[in-house]
Amino acid sequence: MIPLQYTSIGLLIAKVLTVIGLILYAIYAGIMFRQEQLMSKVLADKSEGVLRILTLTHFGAALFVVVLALIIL
Amino acid sequence: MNLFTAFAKSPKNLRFETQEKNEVVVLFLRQHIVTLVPWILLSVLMVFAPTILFPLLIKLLSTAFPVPVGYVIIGTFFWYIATFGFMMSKFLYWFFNIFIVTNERIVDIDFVNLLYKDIAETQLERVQDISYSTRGLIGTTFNYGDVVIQTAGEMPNFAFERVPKPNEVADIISDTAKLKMKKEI
Repeated sequence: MIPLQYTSIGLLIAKVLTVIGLILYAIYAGIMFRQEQLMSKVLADKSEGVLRILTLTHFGAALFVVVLALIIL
Repeated sequence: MNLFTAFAKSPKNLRFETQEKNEVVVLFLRQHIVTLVPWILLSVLMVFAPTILFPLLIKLLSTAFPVPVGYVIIGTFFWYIATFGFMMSKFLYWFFNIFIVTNERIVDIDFVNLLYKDIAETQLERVQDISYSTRGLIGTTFNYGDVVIQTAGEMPNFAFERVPKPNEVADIISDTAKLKMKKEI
């Protein structure tokens, strides 16, 4: 049987590491969104609006998971 | 032009960053759409993986210590967002790797990764030799291959890799270059 204080310390470490990992992923998603914006200046094409929405949705979802992790973990 | 256009002759409503006022896009190219298939298949596997892998993983971990429900929820959310992110990054890589031939020059735009892009260009009068190759069963079946453009002087050669209709691409570049030379004479 694992003592209770070790379990709670372990869970706290797991929570901190999970949130850090999710924040790093959200930064990556933000970079992807920004890069899409920059690349659309290189090539101006009508179909890029769809990509803008998709990268923004991805970034928003990544931020949402960070918030969700802070709430439920 | 749509999101999946890989070959377009004289496309309308298309402009690129360094395009001059009197410059007209003659040919627009991306890698053949078939080159997307490997990562699309991988993405499909990634989409279905949690239904098989997650119960096994949770069962395995639960023997050592109980996995809190919150981690299962966050893990599942994150998996699907990361899968979507993987698909997006692969698609953006394909979408922004572009070859453009105008009535003045050849432009090669490379989106190497999220933090690095590379734009190379050469004037049409510098074009010396154009060759193309179609390799393998898939390349022959779907008619895609590499087009290599040798340029004069110390300029690096241009390689359009895995583009659709390489023979037609070589013809168009050759004709456009000849036309440019005639105009200058």
